[in-house]
Amino acid sequence: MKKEVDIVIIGGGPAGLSAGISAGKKGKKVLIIERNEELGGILNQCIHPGFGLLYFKEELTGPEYAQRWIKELEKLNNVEYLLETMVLEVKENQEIIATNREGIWEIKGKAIIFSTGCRERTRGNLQIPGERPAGIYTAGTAQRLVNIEGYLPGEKVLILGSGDIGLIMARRLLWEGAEVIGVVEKLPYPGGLTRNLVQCLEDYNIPLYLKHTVIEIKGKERVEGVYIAPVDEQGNPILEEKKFIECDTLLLSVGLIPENDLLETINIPIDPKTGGPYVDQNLLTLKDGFFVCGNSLLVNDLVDYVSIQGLLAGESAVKYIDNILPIDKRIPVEIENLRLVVPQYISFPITTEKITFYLRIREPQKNVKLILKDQDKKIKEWRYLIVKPAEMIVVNVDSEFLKRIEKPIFSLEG
Amino acid sequence: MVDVIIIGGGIIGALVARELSFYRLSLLLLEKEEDVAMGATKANSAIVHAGYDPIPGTLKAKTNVEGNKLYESLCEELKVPFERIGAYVLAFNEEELKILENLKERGIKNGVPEIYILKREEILEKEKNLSKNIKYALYAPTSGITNPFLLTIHALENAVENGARINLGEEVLKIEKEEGFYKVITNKGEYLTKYIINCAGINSDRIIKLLDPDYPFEITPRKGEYFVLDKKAKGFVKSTIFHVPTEKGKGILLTPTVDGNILVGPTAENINDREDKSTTLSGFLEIKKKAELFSDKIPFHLVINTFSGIRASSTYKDFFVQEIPEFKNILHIAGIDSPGLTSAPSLALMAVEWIKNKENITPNKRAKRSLEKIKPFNNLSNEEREKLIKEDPRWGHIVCRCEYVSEREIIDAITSKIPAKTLEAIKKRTRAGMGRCQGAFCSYYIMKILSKELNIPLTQITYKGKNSYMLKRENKERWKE
Repeated sequence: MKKEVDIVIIGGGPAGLSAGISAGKKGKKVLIIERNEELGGILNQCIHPGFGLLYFKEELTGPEYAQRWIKELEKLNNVEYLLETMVLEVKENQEIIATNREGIWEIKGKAIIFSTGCRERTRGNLQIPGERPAGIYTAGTAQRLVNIEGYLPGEKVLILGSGDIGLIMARRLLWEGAEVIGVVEKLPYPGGLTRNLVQCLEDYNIPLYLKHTVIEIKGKERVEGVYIAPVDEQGNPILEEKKFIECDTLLLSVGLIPENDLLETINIPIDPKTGGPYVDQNLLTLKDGFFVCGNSLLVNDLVDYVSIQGLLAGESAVKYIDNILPIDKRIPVEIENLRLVVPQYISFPITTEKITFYLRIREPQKNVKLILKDQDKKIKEWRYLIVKPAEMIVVNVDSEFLKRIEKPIFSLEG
Repeated sequence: MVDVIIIGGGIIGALVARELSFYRLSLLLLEKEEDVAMGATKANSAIVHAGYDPIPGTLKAKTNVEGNKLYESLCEELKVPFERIGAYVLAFNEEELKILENLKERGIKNGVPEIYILKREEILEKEKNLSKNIKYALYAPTSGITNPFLLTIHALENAVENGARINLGEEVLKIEKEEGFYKVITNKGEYLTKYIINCAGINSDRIIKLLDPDYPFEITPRKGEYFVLDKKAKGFVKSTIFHVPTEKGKGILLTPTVDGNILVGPTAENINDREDKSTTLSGFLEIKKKAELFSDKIPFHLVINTFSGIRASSTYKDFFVQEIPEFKNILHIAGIDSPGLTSAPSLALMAVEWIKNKENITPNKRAKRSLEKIKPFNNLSNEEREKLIKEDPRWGHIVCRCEYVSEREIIDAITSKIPAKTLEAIKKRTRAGMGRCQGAFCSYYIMKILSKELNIPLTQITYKGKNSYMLKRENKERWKE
């Protein structure tokens, strides 16, 4: 089957939905391709509240948050979507090959937006030694099983990694009657948001073991237990101090990997710091006509940011098609004492009123200044009482300040 | 009464069953696990060795070279991938060159058709990522790679089509000698048989001990651990890379797989517990350290999985392919360690000859050698895909997103001649769950398909049989349709 549209959006989660809405509202013909059986992405399994505080100024559950956008999208007749449809191939000329039960689709777009989200890091990625029993789950898979399928994956659970999904799942499994032995975190500080640490662990007396890791999995058929050990300053386990913990399930909440495998097939360069492609302030990748937003751009800690990025990518794609996104020059944004920045480039001329920068730090710090410099000249400064790796720093800079910038540098200073 | 009972559903048992299925014989294969290809067949380097390694005159040498030659037609008939990608054995100094020269001489004696010693420049021209410290390499272009578990499964499907019976989850507990036949007692029943072929792999000595507890043959299990790298590492090496062998074996290798991954390993550790398939921190460190010799650029950040396998090495050193005099009509194909996979087709032919020496067997005229199989969705052209989807829409619905496995392929695996009943069995047949997300996205979809097709509740689905249940129970207050 053949189809021609203005904009193809790959992925119908929060990023794809808002991208579809913003492009759709400008009258463009949009097609969203979603591999799951419904729109909304991972939000559908996030039945806990806490979504939308930033964007809607109210607290919603994941499915509620998704529904707001889906309703909005359904109003737009020029935005279509295909469900249970898998993109097999993306070509450099903005053509897409996809498959579903109806057949093979050849879809031609003028611009493509990638909103493909993340996958979870696995036991294999971490190289955790031991046996290979059933009962080792990524936190997201466990969340799906409990919240959508209605099944409990385990009754005595240890969680490795203090990422947000792991913390949320600690509480969720406890509510379902499972014993949650604790959360083990290799780093000296937790990986999740403070509110999740308080509401999911502290409120339920679930212990958090910092500077510990799982060094071996035991169990021939089903998990029977794991060995945990403290780690030294370099993060290497101190094997002599290992301790056996009996459990039937090991949940892994050890980080997310932006899914950019399709985009890599057409050689769009990826920033090793973010795991997502390099983009400019329009969320345009280094290949013309290909945009990216949401968690495949960088792992966000709030879905609200994902939606905001989607809106921007949608608008940018429309400008691109309408030929009002000229790029005369592109300069890199540098960072000092920071882990990552998005966008990694500023394109000129700047066509937006402001540019939103997303930054992450390496280690928790107190009383710091974030400084935006042009070479050595200070342009703007922000002060923070406390910054944490788990919480993104988001700053808006008026384009007025950036118009003539030559060497933008973000620097975190004590 | 059956003519032949084959004990063990690994690569040896499978190819023996297939070869015998071309004759008018009633065959029964007994496998103690819930699926076939569960032992060394499941976890090895998947290399079809050229044959320069075994000592000339041994059975290993003979069957290695013969087996290697049989692989093309075997894999073509059984629709299993096989590629002759060649192998290099690297030498880093003049002393190691001497070992290469020895290997070359062995190879020539063993009948390896092509074998050369190359110099650094010639090697680096073909394998750009290898260390500049290489001095020489033995190059054997006939070395290949295949998919051992698919080969086993397809061989048995072929055997079943030709009339063989395969019983899974059935363990041989006792063998009683009767007048002119044997009685085989399992956990599920009793069978009378004229012949027995012991292909029990890691447990082949236990079968021998069932007959004669004092017989001097012991399996000395040797564990090997591996890393699997993401398909993004494809092309890092194009051939299989070894270092010169030591007494312990061929050492760490670096090789492409037929599916486009890269494999690094194995270690070689003698172990006592033959069920110990655990991976270890020390094993991982050893692989990384030794592999560094090949290249300091190996992309270990692309590791998607680790595994270990147990080689059925024995005190006999060579392959033990014999009848024990007091127990005639029982052939033991035991102690099959490397190059067991390569030798398997040749060992299977030996089993046929063994029976032919005992009685006249007539060919089964209706037997087929070829298996009808549609290629995996991932390997089809879009035109072929379109055609299949029109016949059955489930071809168009992708379940495993990393390896592009369709719903129809999962169902075919469940309803095939050797039915997949576990997540791991589906993984072996279709690759669903073998990709970079390691089943995080697709496992519950596959569990649902399994539950529907096998008509069992989701809580009964296992990862690999027995007690390996995926789920504990339903939620406390479950939403019901």
